[in-house]
Amino acid sequence: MYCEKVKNLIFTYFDFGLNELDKEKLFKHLKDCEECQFYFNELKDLFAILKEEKALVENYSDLILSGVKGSAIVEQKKKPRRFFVLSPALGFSFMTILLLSFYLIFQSIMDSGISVGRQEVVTYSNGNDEINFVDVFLNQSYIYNKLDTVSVESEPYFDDVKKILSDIYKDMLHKLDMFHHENQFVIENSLEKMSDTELDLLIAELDTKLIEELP
Amino acid sequence: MKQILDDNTLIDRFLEGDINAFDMIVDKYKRKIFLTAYKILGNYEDANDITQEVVIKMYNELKNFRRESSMYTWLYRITTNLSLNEIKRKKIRNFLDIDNLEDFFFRDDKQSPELNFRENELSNKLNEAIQKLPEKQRTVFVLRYYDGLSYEEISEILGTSVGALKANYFHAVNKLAKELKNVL
Repeated sequence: MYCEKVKNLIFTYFDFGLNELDKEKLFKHLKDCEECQFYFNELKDLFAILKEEKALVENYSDLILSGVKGSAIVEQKKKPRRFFVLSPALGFSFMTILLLSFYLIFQSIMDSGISVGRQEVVTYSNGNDEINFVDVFLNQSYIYNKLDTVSVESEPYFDDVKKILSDIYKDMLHKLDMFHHENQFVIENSLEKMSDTELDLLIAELDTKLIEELP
Repeated sequence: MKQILDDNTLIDRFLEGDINAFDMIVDKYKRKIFLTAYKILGNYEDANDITQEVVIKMYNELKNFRRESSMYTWLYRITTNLSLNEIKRKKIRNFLDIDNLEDFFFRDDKQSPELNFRENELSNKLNEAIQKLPEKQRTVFVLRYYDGLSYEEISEILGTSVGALKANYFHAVNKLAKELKNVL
């Protein structure tokens, strides 16, 4: 217990320093305690390496930033990107083809922001129970745009994703005429239990196809 | 006090149309902005982009800056928000692979001096360890250690209590010490 308090003192010593009295207490304890000595040396080495690296990074930053002027950055940002400046005709053609392709590709799957194309209900068995699934497609850029508008200050990233996915599922169930509050409850619970890694994988899957479980 | 007066004078001069005053503000803060973004994002290219975004935002928003907080608190808030937004954006963009497309079309032919710098093992290991920290701990660690801000200043920037910030910093330091055990 006492060592825990000493560890806080050690941390404070490296964070912003200790008064003379606390410093004396700390070093007195360190003389007889190997565990605290180990922690002290660990932090001492860490802050030494941090200091060394900080100097390297600062020097390098100065190298990168030397001659950088605020007004020049503002001017630069006002100009169109170089690719199109060098070849406006090529740039125009490229953009036209790109936009047309996107339009044709997404026309069939886009529908008021969320693209849900109903496939068919498929029954899977997990050994004991039979579960119905509906194959759906989801437009990932919708999630991307939604995330862009969410403030970073409000909630952690994955909470934002969960909230957006939950709204999307709800909307999707409405479109499929399968919305029941129980379904929404099940979805929210499942999302809540997902780890960040699982959620990452789920979002990756949404890029092409999502299999949504329906009771 | 002198710092605030100086900033206020520069802002006034910029708002009156003196672009040199804007350059002076950027000169004063560009290193802090760049380093903060670099340590949160973990690479120089993104830090460069964020620095530019902050400069543009500063240029457009200075007229709305109410001067209730200090200039650097305001800038740190913009920098951390843009950096954290960039992390979010990257997580999504990775799935779509947009970055590779952009690299292909907008690749800069000039070789970055970063390539040589990357060879520095110490910096790389430390950077990797910092990037493994959760976002909040990483941000607090960067503002406290690299920017040398007080907990009260960080509290004003991130809107978190001083107690929680101390805990975040404590955990971040301990995790880094463990992570770097083999290097130290």
